Amino acid sequence: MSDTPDPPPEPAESRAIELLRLVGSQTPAVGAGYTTRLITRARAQAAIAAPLRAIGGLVAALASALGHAVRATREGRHS
Amino acid sequence: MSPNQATDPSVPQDAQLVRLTTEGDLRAFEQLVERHRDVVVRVAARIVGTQDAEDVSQDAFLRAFHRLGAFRGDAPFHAWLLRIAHNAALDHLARKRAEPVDPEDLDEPEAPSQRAPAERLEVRERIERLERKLRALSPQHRVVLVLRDAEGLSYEEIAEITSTPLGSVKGRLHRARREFIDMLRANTYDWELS
Repeated sequence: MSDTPDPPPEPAESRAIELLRLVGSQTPAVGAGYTTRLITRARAQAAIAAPLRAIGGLVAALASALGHAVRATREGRHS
Repeated sequence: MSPNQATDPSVPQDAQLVRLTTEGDLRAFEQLVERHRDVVVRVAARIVGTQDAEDVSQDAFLRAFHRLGAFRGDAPFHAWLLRIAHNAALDHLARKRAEPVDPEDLDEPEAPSQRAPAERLEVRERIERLERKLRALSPQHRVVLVLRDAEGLSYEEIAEITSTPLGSVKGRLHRARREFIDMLRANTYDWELS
């Protein structure tokens, strides 16, 4: 993406930007196996996500059915 | 996006890797992680500190993994990912808010873990001092300096990542730079600010 050009920064600002670029030039080291660990966690979470979604769906369906049943019972008593 | 990715048709685009991942191909997700790991780790490190950067960046990638289905491709993938990383980093800071920065620590360089050539050591020491200065800023100011000046992102991308109007990004950046400069000037170390 491109920006509209900024007015030229004052010297102190230019120097601060230069120092921040220096900070940005260094990537902290991560532990060996970073990606492998991450993929293992993603795989494990994906494996439990599907059953959890199914259980969530089942609980929601049961709650909805129970709600209908309670309403039907109340309406039956009033009529 | 790397230049190779933009020009070489054999290198899959981010959007293609996202689609493959949502279809269950974790090797595609692995490629996305490898491609964007450095920038996510850098941004996390500059917001939460180097020590916690690995955990926060892993958290960000896992959050992204679970939300890939919501990626529409109307913004570049790296901006979408950095938005998640930014939120993960701020959540981490919120959890750790009870630990204030000790002003006496701001100018104390950490002992280097191993011997290095003098010049490299000096650069490393300068960066550590600057990182400590950054951590003394408010998270909002820190984020905008990291994204704009350290990572070179556009105002539009920063607005997208931080969910902030474009005009506010520019105003915040101006105030953050002033605060950062004042902080450097208040320091005995010579930052050659003129």
